[in-house]
Amino acid sequence: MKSFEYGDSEVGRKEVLVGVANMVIGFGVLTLPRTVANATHSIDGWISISLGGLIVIFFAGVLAKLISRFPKKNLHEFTSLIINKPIATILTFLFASYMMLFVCYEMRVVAEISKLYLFDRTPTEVICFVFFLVTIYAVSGPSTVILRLNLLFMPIILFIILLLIVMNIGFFEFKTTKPFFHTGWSEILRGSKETIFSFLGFEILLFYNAFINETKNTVKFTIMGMAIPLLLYLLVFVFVVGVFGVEVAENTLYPTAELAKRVEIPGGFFERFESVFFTIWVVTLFSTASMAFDVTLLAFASIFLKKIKRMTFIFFLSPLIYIIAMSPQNFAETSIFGEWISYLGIGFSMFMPLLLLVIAMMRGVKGNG
Amino acid sequence: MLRHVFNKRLKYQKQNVEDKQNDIPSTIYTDIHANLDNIKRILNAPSDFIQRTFTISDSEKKCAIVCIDGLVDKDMINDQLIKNIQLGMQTAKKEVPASSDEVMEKLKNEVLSTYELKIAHILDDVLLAILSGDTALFINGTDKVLLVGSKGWASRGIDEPQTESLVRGPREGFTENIRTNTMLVRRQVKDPNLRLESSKVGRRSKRDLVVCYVEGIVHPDIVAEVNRRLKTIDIDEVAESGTIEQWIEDSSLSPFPQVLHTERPDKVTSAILQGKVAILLDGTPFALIAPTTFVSLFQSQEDYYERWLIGSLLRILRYVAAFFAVFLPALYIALVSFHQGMIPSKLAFSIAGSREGVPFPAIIEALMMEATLELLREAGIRLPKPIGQTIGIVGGLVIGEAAVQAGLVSPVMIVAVAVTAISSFAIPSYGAGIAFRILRFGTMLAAGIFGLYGIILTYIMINIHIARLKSFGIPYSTPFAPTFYRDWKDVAIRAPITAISKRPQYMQTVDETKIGKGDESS
Amino acid sequence: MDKLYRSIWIFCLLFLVTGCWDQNEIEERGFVIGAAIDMVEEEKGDSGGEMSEKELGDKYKLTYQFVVPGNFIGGSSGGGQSGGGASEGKPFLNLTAEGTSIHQITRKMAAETSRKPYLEHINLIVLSEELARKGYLKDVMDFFVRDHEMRRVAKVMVAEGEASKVLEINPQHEKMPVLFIDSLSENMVKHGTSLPPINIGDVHSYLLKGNSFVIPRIVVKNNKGAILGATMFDSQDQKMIGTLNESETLGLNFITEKVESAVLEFLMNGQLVAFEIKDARSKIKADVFDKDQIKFTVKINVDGNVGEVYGDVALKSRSVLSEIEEKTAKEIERIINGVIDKVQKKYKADVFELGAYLKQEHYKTWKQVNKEWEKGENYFSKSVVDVQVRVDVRQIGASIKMVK
Repeated sequence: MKSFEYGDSEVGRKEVLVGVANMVIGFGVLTLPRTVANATHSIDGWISISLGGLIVIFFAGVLAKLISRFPKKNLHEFTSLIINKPIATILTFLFASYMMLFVCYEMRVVAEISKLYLFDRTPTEVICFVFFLVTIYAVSGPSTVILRLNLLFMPIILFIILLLIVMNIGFFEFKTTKPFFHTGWSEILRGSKETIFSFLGFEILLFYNAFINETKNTVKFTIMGMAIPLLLYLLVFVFVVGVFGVEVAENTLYPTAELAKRVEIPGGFFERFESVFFTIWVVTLFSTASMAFDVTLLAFASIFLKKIKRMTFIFFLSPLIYIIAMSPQNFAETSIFGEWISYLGIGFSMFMPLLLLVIAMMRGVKGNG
Repeated sequence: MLRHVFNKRLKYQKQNVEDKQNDIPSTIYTDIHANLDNIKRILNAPSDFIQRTFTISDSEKKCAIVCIDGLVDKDMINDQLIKNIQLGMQTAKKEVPASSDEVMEKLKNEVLSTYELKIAHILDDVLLAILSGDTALFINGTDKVLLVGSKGWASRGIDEPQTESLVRGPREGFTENIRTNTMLVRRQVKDPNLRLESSKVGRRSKRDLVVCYVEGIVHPDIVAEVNRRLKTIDIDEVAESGTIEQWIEDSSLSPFPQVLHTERPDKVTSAILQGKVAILLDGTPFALIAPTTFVSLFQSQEDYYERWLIGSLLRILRYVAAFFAVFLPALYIALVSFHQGMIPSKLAFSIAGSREGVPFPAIIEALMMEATLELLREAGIRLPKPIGQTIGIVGGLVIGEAAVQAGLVSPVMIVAVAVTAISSFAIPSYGAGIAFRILRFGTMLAAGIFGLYGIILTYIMINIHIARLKSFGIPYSTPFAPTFYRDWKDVAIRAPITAISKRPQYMQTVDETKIGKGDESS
Repeated sequence: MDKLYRSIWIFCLLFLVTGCWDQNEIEERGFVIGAAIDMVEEEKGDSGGEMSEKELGDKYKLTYQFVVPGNFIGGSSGGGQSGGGASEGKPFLNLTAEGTSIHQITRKMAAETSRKPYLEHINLIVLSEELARKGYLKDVMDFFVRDHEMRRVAKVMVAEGEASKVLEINPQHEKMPVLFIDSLSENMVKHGTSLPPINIGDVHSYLLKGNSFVIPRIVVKNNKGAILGATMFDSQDQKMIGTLNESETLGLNFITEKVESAVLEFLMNGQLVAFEIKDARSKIKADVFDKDQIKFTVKINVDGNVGEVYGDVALKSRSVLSEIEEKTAKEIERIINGVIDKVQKKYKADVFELGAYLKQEHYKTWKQVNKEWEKGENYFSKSVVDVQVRVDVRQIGASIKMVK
């Protein structure tokens, strides 16, 4: 049938904004206070976070600039225009593989966290498997649905984080955060490096560009989308330090979880807020994983020019993803795995778009003539 | 897929029927007796078949009326039809023309004092008219038939809607009579742009169906789509509007109703004024409203009649009720058999104490009680009204109490089940209430296997499903995803009437403004 | 598409078959509500030396207080007399086991009782003084901090003498000893003479920060509990070094701004006056000109009411009130100076968190003195703490004078 424009295979800028924010917010919130505190040993970590955030936002802007030059085109299509088709195919293939690894990592992390906080004896494989089934269910539908899901989930995620913060206001001690400004630049920079990892994920726009119907303000909305995680990270970091002090932040696996443990629900309606927090957190990890999976599929599909059906891809990729996700033996290996993916992510989300944009500008290539 | 199979089968049946009908001549003869015999043969001379042959006025021209007893208004036929034909021509001092066609014209234009008159040329039309309660007038010597509107069967009066009663609001509900129903709608919308497109549906049942909308408000695509889908209906019996609903809905696998049904004329008028389309069917008091979104399941007409604070509070309450209806037993299971740490210490100890004698895991306990509850509900509907209520109360109280006494379930479980039951009735749309009941069993199973993790995954799945579902091209999750901030005024809270000055944005109505500027001076 | 749905369903059904790993019905849990940890008494050989496998034997004696849920709902407070219960009708059950590590003992206990110990509802952890003095606090706490099941809010206390005795006291108004002590400790804060409750999370952060710290001390008297004073731990190896009595704890609370309310009694013109403190704020300032003699000034502002006055003290005149204020200030200064003296000179442990204050406000000086704050040069002991108290009487009550 002829359906309404908004109901169709297009998304507006709100979806871009929220999609980017939701993709970026993920596992990072849980560990970021620790990694930054480890590098800076003081509240001055907020400078690191802001600095890292601004750097990433700059690159996100570059990426947005690049895609708004080529409306309705995905990475494969505009790279073919900018350079040539073989290179575009190779790049897209690498990008797709990176995204696939990203999915693997995200799934593994879900399983690890759930195992730690919600389960005791249930095998990681099973936890991961059911999560994966839900992800498959999500990606078996159109991409726009996944982008729209973010709009449904974002309020819940923001709500739970803000609730976490509000519930801890009573424990926040200003004097714990002191002294300010005594950390060296090298430490702050080191902190920024850690931060950058937590800001990756906006590269999904390279493919979701094909669905954006309003090309005008893509840059603005991408940056706004990136600002949400930046603010959240700052808030969480300052609160972790203000409530526990830097020493605790440095030495707990998930300092944000400690923040959740501290919460006492007024009236004692239920206890152990951290379980609720983690339960809801599964939602964010799900959005990240499903978007990454979706982009993987889009990327592979763009190489094969839609000759192969989406379901076929899902059918063949799923076992592969599951096996890779299950291959790290323990948490330490998972972390290393994550770190490598982050390095890849810096390459694909920051340097590749920059390079493409520069070439495009030099050659004067633009989408739609 | 399913529909495909149906279609195939239908085609096959259709051919059979056509073969049979070919034996019967479907032409109208000039000879009145031939016509009468023909009709008698086709209808197999049923006991309620009435035919009366008489002469027009003082002439020798023979004529006959044919109708079905019970469907027609007898007084009307006696007074207006027979009397006028036999006597009317004479008293008016009118000559009876020689030609039968002229007689018919004269009768139609000058003698018969009824407003619904039609000349038919095809026997099928005549048969349909007779079976719908009209009267056919045959005149010897012409192959035309005069159809006189004489519908007048016994029908239920306008009554208070049974399934959707309100504290405040009009008390009248739709009836089984479509004319009454269209009357009820028309009376509330006196807009010349109100369109009531009639058609007949069901190959054998041939029910009257009216598609109702306001031109100039509704987006034309929606009307076109509704009509397109209605045209595809090819089934011999349309028993109720539910049949139509199931035929035209987008996804038959979804538990959520994609077409809303209502007994309330005010709900229909409010919907068509929002740019939606209503479908009325003869023979049922339930009208259909399309398209439908998830949030409209929670909207009751009363929200708009009460002042906005009350309306908003009730809305929020309904969302909470829906949450309870779907997730409360699941949360109980998850907390009691997985995450005991989340229960406040003292409560945890008392639950543990009260469950000490219960031999089943929480999931079995919950499923057992929910099943009992559903049974009670079902039995309550079937039983005669006065007993039904008693059974409900007695069953609920006695079984609950006895189950606790017998150590089958814990008291806390009873509380959870009771709250769930009450919650599921707080949802204004009955269909949605059932949907939530179905989902409840899903969440309970998930909670029984994975605890909170299972619940959140089911929650995600429900969300995916809602985001994917469409109702006549409109995503089910509007106005949240896609977002229309303007429409949020009428979602969880119901903003003051004056604040909702535009029709819903997601309906993309032609005329958006609902509230004029009013008196500029005020 | 159909096939996919079908396979998903089959998988879902498979889960039903494989069973639910973590499903553990609430009535099958052995709820532990409190723990007491003692040292095993007869310890052969030197504990500091190399540990052979034999010596690894038994080290801790762990007592868990289990809830008996059946009796919890039925049993009346005080326990003992509810009829028909399986195990004497008491709503709790204390079990003791010995072993090398807390984890191991917990496992051992699972074999002894029909129900596996479930620690998510633990409310109180009591350590024996002996254990604290030997510096095993950090070893013991490791188990409780590491276990994610543990709630951060479980309170930690050090008992005078044997810890397991604390779990055996006769509860009043509450059903279980642990709940009794729990509410007791919440209440005692209002008297100012005991430390505010310290929970696992706090202890964890103390251990990480490496400062000296205090933990509430519980003393059992005639089988009725009371929390009294504080136990001090030093910064180097987190061993217990001493205790503070009630008035010393009050002094400490004044400096660390933890007095919510308290009652002071003193004589004025030979008559007893009880002064009720409603609010006390402290402000620390430091003069770091000379790092060998850092001068701290602690300004304390106290608001309060006159609670009780004996004899013929008339509260009408301003001069009487200011006399009360002056006397109260003197009294508070005396209390605070007493505790400063004891802590600075005798124990050399900075439980006032003055070091933390230096870090926050005088970071450069702190960097210089940090290493030898409580040892070596011992800058802490060398520093001077000056206390200035200012008292304001807010209300004198309804009567001016009781007798003529």
